[in-house]
Parts: sequence; structure tokens; C-alpha cells
Amino acid sequence: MDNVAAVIGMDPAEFRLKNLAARGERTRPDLRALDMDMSELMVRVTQSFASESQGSNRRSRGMAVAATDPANTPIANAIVRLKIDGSILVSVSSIEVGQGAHATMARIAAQTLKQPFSAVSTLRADTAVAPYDWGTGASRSTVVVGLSVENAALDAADQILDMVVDVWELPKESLSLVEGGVSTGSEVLTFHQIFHRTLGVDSGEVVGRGAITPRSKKGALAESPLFWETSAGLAEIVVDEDTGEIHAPRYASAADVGRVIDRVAAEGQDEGAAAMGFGHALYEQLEFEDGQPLNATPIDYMIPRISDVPPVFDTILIENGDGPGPGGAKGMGEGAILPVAPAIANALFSAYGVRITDLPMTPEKVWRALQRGSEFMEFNMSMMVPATPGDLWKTLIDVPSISSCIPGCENVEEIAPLESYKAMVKQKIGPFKVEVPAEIVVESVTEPSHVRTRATGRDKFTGTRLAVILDVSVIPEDLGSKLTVDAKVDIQGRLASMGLGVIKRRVDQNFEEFETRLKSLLGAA
Amino acid sequence: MLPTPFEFDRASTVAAAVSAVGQEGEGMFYSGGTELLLAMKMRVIHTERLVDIKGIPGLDRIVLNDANELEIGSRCTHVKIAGDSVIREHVPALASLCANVANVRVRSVGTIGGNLCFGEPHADPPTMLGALDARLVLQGPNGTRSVHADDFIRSELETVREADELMIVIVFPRPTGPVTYRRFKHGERPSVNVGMAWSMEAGAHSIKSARVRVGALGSKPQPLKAVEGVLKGLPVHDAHRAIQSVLAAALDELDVNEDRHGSADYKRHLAGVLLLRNAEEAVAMQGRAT
Ligand SMILES: Cc1cc2nc3c(=O)[nH]c(=O)nc-3n(C[C@H](O)[C@H](O)[C@H](O)COP(=O)(O)OP(=O)(O)OC[C@H]3O[C@@H](n4cnc5c(N)ncnc54)[C@H](O)[C@@H]3O)c2cc1C
Repeated sequence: MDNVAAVIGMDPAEFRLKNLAARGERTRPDLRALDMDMSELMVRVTQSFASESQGSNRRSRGMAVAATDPANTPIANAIVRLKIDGSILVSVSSIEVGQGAHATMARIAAQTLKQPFSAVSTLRADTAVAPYDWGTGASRSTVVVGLSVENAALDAADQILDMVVDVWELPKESLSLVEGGVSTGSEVLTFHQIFHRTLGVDSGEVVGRGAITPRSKKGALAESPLFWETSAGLAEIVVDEDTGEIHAPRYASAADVGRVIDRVAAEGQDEGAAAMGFGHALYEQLEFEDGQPLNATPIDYMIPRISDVPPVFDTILIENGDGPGPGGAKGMGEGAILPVAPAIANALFSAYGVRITDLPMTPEKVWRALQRGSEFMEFNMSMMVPATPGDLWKTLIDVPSISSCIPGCENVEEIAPLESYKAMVKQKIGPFKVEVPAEIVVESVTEPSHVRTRATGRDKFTGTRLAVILDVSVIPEDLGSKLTVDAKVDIQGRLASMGLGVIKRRVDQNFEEFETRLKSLLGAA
Repeated sequence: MLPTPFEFDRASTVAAAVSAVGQEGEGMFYSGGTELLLAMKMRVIHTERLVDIKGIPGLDRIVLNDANELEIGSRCTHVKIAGDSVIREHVPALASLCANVANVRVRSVGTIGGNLCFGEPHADPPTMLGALDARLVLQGPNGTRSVHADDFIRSELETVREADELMIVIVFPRPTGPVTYRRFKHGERPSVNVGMAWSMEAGAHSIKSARVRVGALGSKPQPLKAVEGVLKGLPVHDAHRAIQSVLAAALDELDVNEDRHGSADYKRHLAGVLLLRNAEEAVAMQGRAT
């Protein structure tokens, strides 16, 4: 995306916003239409960085967005048991491996039955006892198993309300669940009172059963994917140009999760996924020699530690309550892994114009790319001027008239005489439009023989960086003076990598033009 | 994997440890065990007898002796050296080196003696101790001898130490000028590291002599003779430029292995980057000191 944006001279974020599929649009005829707004994700990660001023010259930013279609088959069963003491047992076949699935199931049961979270336990999965589920994976448990838990809880609620209807002879519409029992409108019956009066003993439970199949919800769950798993990532990087090492001081990750059920766990999932993204982006690589792995231990196989991931990490979970799961939840946790590597690669591209396409982006790879990417262009000219060095010098330090010789140079502004200036350089090079607000610093002056100036700037459209070092010398000669100009031009960034050849030709032409204009200004030969 | 069976011996004196290792059958000293036990569990090292030296008193002392030399006992852990007030005062670069070796578990039990005796080519301390002109004191059945840090490591995982010689202490003159150290790593251990120590003329405006060691590139730390030569007698503020003038040729002389840590030209380049950064730091340190 960034490559295409660079070729047409458009900001990569703008390019994406113009072309993103909208909510409700299909990207493939056999897949569900997009159920979220990618642009919302992009806006949110951008806002996250907005508090910080634009990256300095040493820092650069890159963004990426991603969507994936998890294969979240809608088949699951759950059992929810509500006991006389108000405690609740949830039984599902979801496997808890630290992702928080069991706590989430407990939360869904608690919310549905309006009981405190502390009253609910999720039983350790044992497939001899727990009901059938298609599997723990594809970000499906919260949605599919969660819906079956919700159904099972509703079934249990129904049974307990039916007891009250039956024994107290009250209309069902007047009843509602409250913490510890059922409200009739005028009083609260505890679960103990209900079981005691209904069963005639001081024990008992109701067993709710919930099932989800492709036919549930009038077939609304049948189409694949059940929801889109999406994310946007915005990375800020600093490159050690000497070693090629990439540091990421800041990262923002946004995911549309429909609704958050357990905030700590949800953020942990998103951050964990992004940390794994940093792993494959910068570090992880299995190496083999003669078919044997060379780094098959954690000593040699590098996984990012907490000190290797960005110290400032913003996790944004977007909640529009529009997912297929309980309360509008969607699955999450896998999406955040996707944009990390491309966001970092885009940041590298935006600052240096180098594009790395095989992961991980190790320091050596980056260093080699930087070596190739930066190419100085040098230009020299010399001319005889029929004026004394002193007179020539006066003309030379008349900055406005000298800059009028530079093609495309406009709005020269003096900040401090013979110290610093500002100007705008506008160029159209082939298909590219370049507009560089340049800062010009006079680095050294030896009157009336030598002046060195440095002009630097960054193109408004492509972020391409331009640096020009100009050495101008005046040498006394018999018939006047000799003027020599040595220029070193360094262009780094997207433009350089897209069309260095075109740029070189253009800079060449500009220098010829500069020489011609200068000669006529000075009446030189 | 479990290691193959071995005897275990706890020595309480240096002499007892030396004689226990020297007995019939192959014995090995066991210090922090951070290298040794891993290798034994992988069954790439086998020993018939492990002689634990943790119980020997006096091997973990750090002092500035009467000869104005620093002495570091071989049993000092990285954590101990990193936090020691004498080291922090006189060689802060060594303290921070030890603070950044490996991970916290290895640092809190792994020792400097174990690090040196293992002879791992990507280690940090050998490079630094070479720059500091350290002597390593070994005690064997026939008494003690001392070996210059530069001569201690023979090759990868091989040192000049005899199996029944115990390293007891590391000694080096108290530095009189800036000591700097840098490593570059992208993984567990350094791909390259550079240690540099300047001793200063009285008045501290010029460098009397300089020692520069580059490690992790070949089988052992290597001196950068051309850089040492050009720095000799030079005013501090000319150091950076002088190094630059001989750097390319000096780096070419280095013996560099191409391996997972990088290709030769890249690692050579890195050595130059680290060296120049060390030089900048040294100039700044000397600027503050005078
Ligand atoms: C994960 C990991 C990362 C590491 N990273 C780094 C790093 O970044 N930089 C670095 O420099 N090092 C690194 N190391 C090495 C670490 O510094 C050493 O493991 C540690 O210092 C060894 O000390 P020890 O006391 O545990 O030695 P041991 O494992 O006990 O012994 C190592 C060897 O030395 C011998 N020995 C020990 N003490 C003596 C003695 N006093 N006299 C004679 N022989 C002796 C033993 O017989 C054995 O052969 C790393 C190690 C690990 C496991």
C-alpha cells in the first residue's frame, strides 16, 4: 500500500482511507460482508499519537491495517447449574490456556443470571463430563461457546422462574432475577426459599442447557466468518543508522471487538498478540544447517522480552456492541499480531526509502538496506567572473538574487543574515510532485573566499528527505575571479527508492540551469 | 535430559579443591554452574567428579590492594561486581558490563571466574579484562602462576588453564584514565564487543597509552594495534579523528568469523562503530575529569 501511495505521491493513510472496503461491503463473494469500519481503527490509532507532536527527524511512523477471517465454526454446547446457595457452575469444553476463556464464560453466566461474578465457577474441562464443543481456537470461544453459555444460563433462569410461577402462582412477566434470588415485584425470594418450597428439601439445583448450531438465530451464524477479526497498528521507530538496529518507542493497536467482556484479559490478549508481532518483525527466525536447527533453545532463539517491546503501548478496543456474541461481542486477540511488521516496515520506508520484504528485520538487514539506499550525488562547476573577489562576494551573499538562480526556489525568507534562511523548493519530477520547505544554515564563512551552506528539508507529500551541502569558493585570478561551486545532494526516502534515476537526471538539469542563470547574473564566461 | 552419573565433592579450601579435581578420573570445578550444568544436561560435557568451590572462603573478595591494583575474586558473581562500591568507583564500565551480562538468573549465580574459564568466544569480560591489562592468578598442585588476560584464552572454549588449576583471583592496575566498553547484541550474547582503556599523562591532557580489545569476532579478543599506536601521546581532543584515520586499516586486520551473529563485513563495521562511540565517551569522561 505504502509503495503504491509513494509512486502516486499520496499520503499512505489517505490512500488507504480512499480505498478501504466500507462496512457492509464484501471483499469476497463467499465471505460475510465487512462488519466493521476499518477507517475507525485507523482514526483511533492516529488519535492515540496525536497528543505527541510530529515525529522528529530521527523518529518515523508507519501504519498498517489488517483483517482476517477466522474459521469459527458455530457449534458448541454448555451446561449452567444454579444451586440452592446461589452458586453457579459452568461446564464447557473450552480449554483454558491462559487466554482467559474460563473467566469470560463465568462473566457471561453471571451477567445473564444477574449474579455476582464471584458466585460463578467454570469447571476444568473434562470431555467425559463437559458437553461437546468444536474446539478452542480461531478466536471463537467468546462468541460461540459464550452464546451457548448465555443460552444455558437463560434456560436455568427459565426453570427457576417456572418454579416461582408454579408454587407462588404468580405471572412470569412480574418476575425478575436479582442478586441471590427472584424478585416478584413486592418481595425478593431467595434461591433457598424457592428450592425449599418447590422441592420440600434443603438442597437442589436447576441444570440449564445451551446449544449453538449453524441453524441457531435463524441461520445468522452460518455464514463464514462469524465476524471479521481486524486491527490497525501505528508504530514509531528510531533507527540506529550505524548499526541498523530498530527501536520502537511507541506503538498503538486498535481492534474492533464489539464489546469487552473482561477488560484486563482482553487488553492482555491484544498486547500479547502485538508482542508476538514484534517477535517475528524484528527477532524470531529458526535457522537450519544441514537440516539441523541451529537455534532450537530459548538461549539462541530470540523472543522479545518486556524490555524489547515499546515502552509506550496504547491498546484501543472499539466497542460498538454489534458483534454476534453475547452483548454484541466479537472474537479478538489474533488480529493485533498482523499489522506490527508492516507498520514497522512502512516506518522504515517512510524515513529511509528502504523496503525490507523478508522478516525478521534484523539490524544487519536494515544496515545493508541503508547502505544501498543512501546515495550521494555530487556536482561541481567552475566559472571565470570579470569582477574582483570583493565585488563577486557582495553578489554572492545577496541571498535573494542568488536563490533566484535556483530552479523552483520560492519565498526565500531571511531569519538571520548570513546565518539562517528559509525557502520553499517546488519541483515536478516525472510523475512526482515535490514540495520541500527547506531550512538553510550557513555553516561557515571566510570572507571573501569561501562559504559553506547546508539546506535540509522534508517533502510535504512523500516525507522524502533532502540535504544539500553547498561549498562556494572565490579564487582571485588575473582577469577577475574564479567561482567554484561543489554540491553534495543526499536524497533519502520513498522517492529515492522509487525513482533515483529520474531524480538524478532532474537534479543534473537543475544544476545546469543554475549554472546558466548564475553566469548571466554575474556576466561570467 | 539428566546428566550422566557423577560424584559430588564439596571443597572448603583451595588446596582440597585442587587435589579433588586432580585425583584419578576426570574432575571439574563447579562454581555457579550456569554454563557447566547446562552442558552436562545436554550431555556434551561429562565429568566423573564435580568439585563444588562455593564453600571456599575468600574467593569472592573485591579490594584495591597496596600496589594500587584491583583484585576481584574468581567466585564473584556478575551481580556482586555490578553492585560493588570499589568497582563502581574505579571502573564503572566493568560494573555496567556485569550488570548487562546475560539475564538476572545467570548474573546472580554465574561468576567471573566461570565466565573466563569456559572460554566462550562471545563473552564480555575477556575483552574488557584484556583492555584493562589484567592478570589471572591460577593455583595448581605445584603452586600459583599468573597469566595475562590476553594469553589466557587459547581458542574457542579452550584456555591455557590445566584441569587441576583453580582460578583464584583477577588482578589489574587501577585505571588512570577513561575506561569504556560497548557491546552490540541481537540475541542472547554479543555479536561484537569493544573495550578501551586509556592511561593518562600527569595533567591528564594527553593519552600516555591506550589498550583496545575487540571481542566476539574471532576465537578470542584481539588488540587493535594500529589504533593503540596512533593514540599514544595524543591530546585527548584529537583522539576521535586519529582513530578514524587508521580505523579502516585496523579493522581489516581483525580475524572475523562469519556466523549466526552476522557476516564478516557487518561485524567489522560494528566494531568500528562501537570503537568510535567508546572514544566519544572517553573524550567526554576526560573532559569532565579535568
Ligand atoms: C543464557 C545465558 C546467557 C549468557 N549471556 C552472556 C553474555 O551476554 N555475556 C557473557 O559474557 N556471558 C554470558 N553468559 C555466560 C555467563 O557469564 C557464564 O555462564 C557465567 O559467568 C559462568 O559462571 P559460573 O560460575 O556459572 O561457571 P560454571 O558453569 O560453574 O563453570 C564454567 C566452567 O568454568 C570452570 N570454572 C568455574 N570456576 C572456576 C574457577 N574458579 N577456576 C577454574 N575453573 C573454573 C568450570 O569447571 C567450567 O568448566 C551467558 C550464559 C547463559 C547461560
